[in-house]
Formats: sequence, C-alpha cells, structure tokens
Amino acid sequence: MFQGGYMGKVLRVNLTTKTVLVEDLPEKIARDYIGGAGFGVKYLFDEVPGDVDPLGADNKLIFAPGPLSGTAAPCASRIAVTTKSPLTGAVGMSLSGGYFPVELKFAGYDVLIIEGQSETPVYLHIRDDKVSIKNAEKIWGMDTQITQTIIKQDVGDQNTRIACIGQAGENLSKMAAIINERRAFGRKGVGAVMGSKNLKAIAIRGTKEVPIANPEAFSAARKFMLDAMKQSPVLYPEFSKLGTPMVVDVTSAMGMFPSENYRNTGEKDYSETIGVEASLSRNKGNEHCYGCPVGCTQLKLAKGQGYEGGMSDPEYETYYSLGSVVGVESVDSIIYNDMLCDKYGLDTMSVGVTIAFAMELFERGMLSAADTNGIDLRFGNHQAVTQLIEEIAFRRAGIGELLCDGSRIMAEKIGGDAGDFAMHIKGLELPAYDPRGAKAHGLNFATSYTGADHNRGYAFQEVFGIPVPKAYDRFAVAGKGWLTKWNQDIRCATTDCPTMCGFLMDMAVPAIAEQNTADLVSSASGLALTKEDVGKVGERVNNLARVYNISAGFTRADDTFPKRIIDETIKEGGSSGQRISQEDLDLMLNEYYEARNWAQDGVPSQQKLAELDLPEAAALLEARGLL
Amino acid sequence: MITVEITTIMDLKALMGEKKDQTIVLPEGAAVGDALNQLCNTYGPVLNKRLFANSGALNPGIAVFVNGCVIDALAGLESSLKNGDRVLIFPPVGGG
Repeated sequence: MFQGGYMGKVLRVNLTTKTVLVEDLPEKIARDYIGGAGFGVKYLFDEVPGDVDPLGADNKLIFAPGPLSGTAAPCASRIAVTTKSPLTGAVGMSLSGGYFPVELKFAGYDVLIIEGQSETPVYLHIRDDKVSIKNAEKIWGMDTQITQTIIKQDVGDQNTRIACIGQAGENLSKMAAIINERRAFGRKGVGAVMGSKNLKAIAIRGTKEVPIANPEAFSAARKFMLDAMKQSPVLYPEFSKLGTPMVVDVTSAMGMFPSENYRNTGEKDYSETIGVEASLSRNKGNEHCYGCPVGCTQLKLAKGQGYEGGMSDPEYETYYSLGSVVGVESVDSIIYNDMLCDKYGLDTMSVGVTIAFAMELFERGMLSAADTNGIDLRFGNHQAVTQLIEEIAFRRAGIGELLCDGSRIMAEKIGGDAGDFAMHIKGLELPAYDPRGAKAHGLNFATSYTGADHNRGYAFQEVFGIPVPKAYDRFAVAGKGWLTKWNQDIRCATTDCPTMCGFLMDMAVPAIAEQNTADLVSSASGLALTKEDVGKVGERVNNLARVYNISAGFTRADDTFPKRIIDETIKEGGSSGQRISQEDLDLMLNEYYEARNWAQDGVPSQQKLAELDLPEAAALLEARGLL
Repeated sequence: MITVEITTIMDLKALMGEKKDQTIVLPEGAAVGDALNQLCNTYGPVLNKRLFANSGALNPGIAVFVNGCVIDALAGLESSLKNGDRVLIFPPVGGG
C-alpha cells in the first residue's frame, strides 16, 4: 500500500476482448523503476516479446506518468508512452507534457496499458473509476484538433483531457505521433501503434487528489527545487521569453546546426533568418504545462508568404527539421508546417529529415519528377515541404507512400546507394545537432535505447558548456563513453522516470539532480529512496531496455552513425574540420561498453545484471546463449 | 600582437555594438581573460556586469569557448590565446 505519490493502480484495457481490468501496482516495481519510462520499459519487457509485429495485436501501448505528476512538485506534468516502435523495431518511448499527464493520476492510475486491436474505430473514455470503450467511427478521418473538440462535446465535459491520433496515425505512417492539445508524444511512430489498434483517442477526466506521504518533507523538497529554479541563470526570464528556439543561435554559432541533409552543416548561418530574433518577431505569448512556473512554449503566428493564419508553437528541433535540414529559411513556413504536422499527427523531426533525404536524392538525380508526383524537391522549397506533409499524412500513392514510413524504409524501397544519404540511427531520424560537432551528444544518439534520440542522454556539457560533472572539450573523443553513460543514466533517473521536465535538470539542478529526485519522490511516496537508489534506477532502465533491444535483434553494429557522419568532414563554421571516423566511433563505443560493464559486443554482463537485480534480463540472454 | 575573432549571440551581441562577429588585437601571450577585459573596456560597464561577478569570476551560465573547446576544460580565464583563435561567448542558454 502506497502512502502517497502513487495511486497504486494499473488500468489494463484490452481492445480485442473489450475488457477492462484494474490491478495493483507492485511496490517493487515502483521502487525499482520509479515511474514514467521506467514503468514503460519494465512492462514492455515483461509483456511484449522482442519479436512481435509492432503494428500487430500483441504490441501494447503503456502510458505512465510518474509519482510526482499531479503533485505540487514543479514541472512534473510529464507522461511516457512505451511500445515496440514500428519505426525502429526497438523500444519506442516518447514523453509528452501539458495537462493530459496529470489527468491519468487524478483518475486514479499510475499506468494505463492498452492491449489487443479493436475491429472498428473506438476511443477510450476514463472518468475516474468508470472506463468505457466508445464508438469512434464518426471521428475517424478527422484531424487531431477537431477530434479533441468533438470528443469533449461527446462526453459532455470541456475539461476532459485528450490524447489522440490524426490521419497519419490512422494511415499507419511510422512517423505518426499522438497529440494532446498542442503537445505531442512525437517520436518513434507511437501514433501508428495507436492507429493499428483502431484507437482514435484516450479521453480522461479525474477528480482524485494525489496523496503526499510526508507533507512537511515534500514541502521542503519542493521549496528547494523552486529556489534552485529561481537561481538558474537561464530559466527566468530568458527561457520563459524565448523558449527552446534560442538554441538555433547556440548551435549555429558552434557550427553544428545541421543543414541540407547534413551535406553543408556550418556553411550558412541560419540564425540570421530562422534564429531567435526571427522567431520572436512572430510571438503571441507563452504557454505552461500543468504546474510549471516557467512556461517555455512559445506560440507563434505566421505572417506572410501565403502562410497567414498559421499558428503553432515550433520548438528548436522543428526549426531544424522543417527549416535548416530542408534548406528552408522562412520562419512563417516553419510555423505553418509545424501546425500541419500537429493537425495530422506527425513527428515534425522524422518528417523533416525524411523530406531532406528525398531532397538530396532529387538533386542527385536519384529521384525524378515522376517519382515526386511532380513536386520540385529542391532544398529550400518550403511549399514542397507543405505539399509533402499532406502526401505523407494521407499515405498518398507515389511520393506519400515512399516517404511515410521514414528514412530507413524509404532507403530500402529505393535501394542502391540511397541509404548512404539517409540520416537515421536504428531507423530514428537524427535530432538537431550534427554529431560531428559534439561527440558525446552524438554517441548518445548511437547508443540510446530508442535510436537517435537527444533526450535520452543530452550532453549539456558540450552544447551549453555546463561543467557538470566536469567540463569537456566537445570535439574530443576520449572520455565520451563514460560521459554518455553518465548522461543517459541521470537523465533517465531524474527526468524520464519521476517524471520531470528535462530542461530543469539541465538548467536548475544538474549537480544535485539525483538528491533532488530522491528527496521529492521519497517525501511524496514514502519509499525512502537514497540518491544512490535513484542513480541505480537510471542504470537499471538503460540495461533492461538494452536487453529488450537485443531480443529484438539489435547488435553492436547498430550502435553507429549514418555514413556521411563517418566519411565526411564539416567544411566550414565553428565545427570545421570535424568528423567521427570509424576508429573514433570504435574508441568511444569500447569505452562506453566498458563504463557500462558490458562485453565489447554490447551485451550486458552477468555481473552488471545481478548488481541491478535484473534476473529476467539475464535469463533472456542465457536462453539465447549470449551470457 | 595577435588577432582573435570574437563571436557572440543574443543579448551579449546587443551589449557588444550589435556585432555578432568582430576581430580584436591583443598582445602576444594574452589570455581569454585579457580578451574579455578588452571587450569590457570597449563596450563599458554594462557588459562587464553581464560577464563578471564581483569576485572576478565569470557569472553563472556565461560560457566561453576557444576554437570550440569550453575554457573550463582548458585553463579557464587563464587559457592562452594565439593568433587566429576563435573565441565564442554565450550568455546563459538552455533547452533544445
């Protein structure tokens, strides 16, 4: 029985049998995995074999906020969804914020597991203890914004919080996202899994309170966190006023803001046209997630170039994916196309990078006008980006069908040397940092359990120069294996599991993140976790996810970079002369595996799995003859 | 004498004559601290207050890189400069 933080319940909904079960959340799972991504990886490992079809009935969607979600802890309205990713075939874990995450807690649940497949379109309605599977045929085919409006009318409650898919998820695009309000579980094709289950939406309204085990200690821990936020040199007012788009100016000055499918990173200064000043000129205010005093989301209204009326909140990554990586210098088109992706339910990052891949093939003559449905796919053509988003969302014959499952599958369809220009790792398109300019940041892309995912081990030491745990030369190779392990474990333990906004870890409490997490989670839940316990949670989740991926067929050979990153050197700008040779990659990987106490083939050791109390992972590897 | 290229962004650019990039000349053997002091002499006390605490250390969040390497991984403000070096100065930044 939990004293607080946790609601103590797992809600299990089977869409094949239309059954609803409520189970107790085992205390051992709470203690060993805290919540969020930890719960997701644990339930995925236990219940979804590595070889299942991600779009088949045996895959599951596991939604889990953390013990701090719905409490007065600042910035804890986060929720993870975990599944076997159709885009990568690996663990697919994506986090979202807003108001949806806390609503599941208020309804009384720590975990929501969706199983099976409905034969017809449905949506799930949770109102505290009342759980209904409802007919969604009338909203099937609608975009994410209209869907949310209609469901609120349907359930007769405008305060219901909704996560849903758009047309992209219905059409099983492997780049489909799940959208809640204007926020997204953006990456790894989680929207396609929802579409494969014929599940249009999850609508939740809860009226319960999240209990606190030790209010006095929790209040002290909360005050410490709020004070640390006030002392941050970044959060107030800069981050409230500028949000993540400020990073365009940062990485541009460092020469690692990727452009034109990474073929000319550093050669053009995109901060002049789509940097923070340009984006600020379109600002209409900021938005907050539940319980966040910062409010980093920046609402933008497009002004010209035929994009008038476009309103959205593009983050830094989208200035890259719908901007520089496709050679686009129109901030208005970025706002508009970001709005389109949200509307149709698409990951802006994978979509933009896949379009950039197509643009390079077009300019190289490897795709013709006949292949592109007549669209002029030259870099910089922002109207072409707009057209392609629609082609992808509706999986239209020709170019839409070619692009809609992401770069890896597109490369396989085209064949030949096309894959040399596809910028993905394990099938997940690269985020907005050229790995050649920040080696630990890049090594995290290569080794993250979700593919090229900056958020699973953000190297703020390299990108922002923050000297925690110590300062690092971003171009150096030595030491980056150890640093990547540190970044991945602390990020997982202090943000992905509790669940807490990752920006606070970087900007407010990087040096004491584990203690801060231990204090907040312990006082909220009564579990009495030490900072060492918290640190171990991060390591445990990364190891369990690694073994899951091994069971799905991944090996050391998949911990790599696109060919261009290994073969080509950045020619100009603040990272000129940089590349990551195969030798550099091998050195970093060897050090990373050693730091993790994994064998040099990337398989966790018996000793490490025993230390982390993961007998189920050891048993899986033993059964496959890998231990 | 040596010539050093200075680059900065955001509000620091506004405090340095709205110049994102500029070149300064320093004596042989100059260090990063000398370059920053020269910029403060040129642009005045507002820049000085933005960059430095009363202790003389850099304010929290101010990051300085020489040829891409953050100076905390070198010798801090004592990091030596040579002709043609590129110095990048960031105000506190985050996100992404």
